[in-house]
Amino acid sequence: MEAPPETASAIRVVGLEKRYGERVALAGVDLCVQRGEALGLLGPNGAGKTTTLRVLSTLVGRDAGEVSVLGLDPERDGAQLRARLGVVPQEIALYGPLTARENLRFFGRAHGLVGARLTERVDWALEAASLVDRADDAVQGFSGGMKRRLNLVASLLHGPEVVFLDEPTAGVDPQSRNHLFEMIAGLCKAGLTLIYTTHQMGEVERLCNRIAVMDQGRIAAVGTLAELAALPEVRGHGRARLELGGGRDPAEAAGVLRAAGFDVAVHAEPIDLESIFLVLTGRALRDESETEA
Amino acid sequence: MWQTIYALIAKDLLIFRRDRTALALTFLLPIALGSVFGTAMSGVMGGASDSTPVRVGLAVEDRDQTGASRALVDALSAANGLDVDVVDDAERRVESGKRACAILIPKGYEATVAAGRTPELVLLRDPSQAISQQVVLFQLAPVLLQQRIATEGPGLFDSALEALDFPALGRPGASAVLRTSFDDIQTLLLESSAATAGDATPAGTAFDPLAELPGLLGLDVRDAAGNRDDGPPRSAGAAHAFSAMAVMMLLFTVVGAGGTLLQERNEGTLTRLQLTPAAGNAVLLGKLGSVGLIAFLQLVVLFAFAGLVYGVPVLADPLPLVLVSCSWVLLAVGIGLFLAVVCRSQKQLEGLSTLIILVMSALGGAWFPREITPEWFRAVGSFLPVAWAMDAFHGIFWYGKGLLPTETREGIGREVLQMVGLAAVLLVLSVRLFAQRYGSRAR
Repeated sequence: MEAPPETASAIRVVGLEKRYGERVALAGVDLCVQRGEALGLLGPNGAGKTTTLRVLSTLVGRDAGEVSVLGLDPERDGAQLRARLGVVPQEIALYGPLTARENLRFFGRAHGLVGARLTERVDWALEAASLVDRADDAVQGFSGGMKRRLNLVASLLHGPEVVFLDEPTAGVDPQSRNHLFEMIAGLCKAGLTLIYTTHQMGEVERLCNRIAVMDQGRIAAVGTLAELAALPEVRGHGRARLELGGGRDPAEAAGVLRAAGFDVAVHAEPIDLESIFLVLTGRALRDESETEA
Repeated sequence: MWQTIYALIAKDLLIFRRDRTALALTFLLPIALGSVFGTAMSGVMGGASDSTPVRVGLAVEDRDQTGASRALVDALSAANGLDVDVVDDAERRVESGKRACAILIPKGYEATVAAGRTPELVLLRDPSQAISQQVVLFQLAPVLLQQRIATEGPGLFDSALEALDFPALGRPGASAVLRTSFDDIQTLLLESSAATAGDATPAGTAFDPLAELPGLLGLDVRDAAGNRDDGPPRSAGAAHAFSAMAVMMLLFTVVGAGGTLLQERNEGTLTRLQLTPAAGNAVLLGKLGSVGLIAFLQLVVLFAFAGLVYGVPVLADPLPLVLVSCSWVLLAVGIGLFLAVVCRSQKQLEGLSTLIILVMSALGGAWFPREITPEWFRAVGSFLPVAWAMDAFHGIFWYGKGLLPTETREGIGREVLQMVGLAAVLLVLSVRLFAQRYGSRAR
């Protein structure tokens, strides 16, 4: 794959390689993410998504290749980069015995926030996560969705410019997922650069400008959804949706098309379950934890 | 139902077999502890006829420096269970806890013996080391009795039987035996002492070797450590017990707290911390600080209780105690963090630390005084941090040691340096290992 251009890029990766002993985790990753862009990073388990993010976020070193995040080298300028980077881990990385506010104050301090600025950012985070009412409750009593929201804002306290989100909606109810979507969409609107990894294709479609598909330690393809759909190896695997006007019977239209030599089938397209669930239960957040009566 | 039970048993055994730490802990820990205890107590509790008896240290100060006094020193040195050091500061050695007992051969010893009188030997003792004193007394008995036989003749045996409250009916027979063979005297003494240890001895007739044997041997017994006139009364048991708890329990506390490092790794908070600008060593140093404070607080509470309830002199000289406490906390934290960084899982940490702490505590004298253990056991123990900490805490509480040596007492400065030195090594190793294993690549 051709090396991406450098201009205006928040993240630039060229020929990134990483091995764990004999196992090749990354076999030459090339990637470019523009400032303010939300990139969906998709791939099956073991494709190299997590390793890529770990290299970009200074957690592990690389064996070969060039990496630049906000113009900084993760290996050389780690401390500087971490001050401008937010990482939302897949696991709930919070202290259960501490309250939401105590967790936020701790992580804020760890990022160098103090005094009024710390208080202001903690209040913002509690508001953003809709946890103001539960701010002084121990996190171990929170529901999965509440923990997820707190997990997200804990990574944003220091006002990062680039945010990596590793399956931030895993295991939450549709209401919380919807709320998380809105929070993440707000980050996009605020001009932050995002890399979003997930196995939920729908989430990426909804949130990301571009999508990179990883497999076997390489970027297999990158582009907008339309660009990916137009790739030669993808084209022809899609399904077209034909909208009939004037109340005409789809079966009749299918007959006409068949007569013209097209191979056509008519399928009813039911509403998806998540949509039904949201219609029936509404979009309001439900924060009842399991431990509550 | 049986099939389910069988399946459950098979499954649990399979899991048990896969967990190597649990496997090792289950079988190795009892073996290791049994071996340590067995070896430590073998000399004291006896056993096979060919077993080597424990040799207890005895300092001998010869102030007479004559042929007779040197002959006595040689005879003491030849005693099977004594490890004799000929010194010129016997009292200081007992005061410092270096020796449980010391014999002072006074000036004029040879002249007294030549005059046919009983020479006045002084036995200096450390009351906190009662077991060692008993061993010393029984080893001294044949040597000193031989001296008295030489000076007082056969009449000694009658006075000896009287001193022992030997039943009047059996005295003539016993006296005859005593006169016939000195070897039999030893036998009778040993039987008397054995009867004292058993329940068969009637109340009121118990033979108290510490109370009666010295008189029989012509020894003037003086305490040279512990309950001195210049300080409050002290309990040897409490001094040892609270020193031991301070040492051993602190290790358990610190390892448990250090284990939260592994918990943070498992729960993902360590990764989050690694993503902060400071990251790296700041995470480990922060952990060191919190664990150290918890450990220090534990010592403060323990010593406050020991002082208030058991009269352990914790405030007699606070500076050495604070220094030793800080040094031990630092070293214990170093040990705890090193283990936490080395171990890959919390289970591994629990298994390894339990084994190390218990064995080290036994060898280092936290469970029983090292003086009663075999020489090689003591030698190994002296290299262990638990022994340094025990010597330092016990030295302060019982012997009233200060940081620096004085004319009469040794200081605990060497132990403090040993602890701080090893702590520095372990902390540097922990920082490096942590950086390799968990640290962010960049600083």
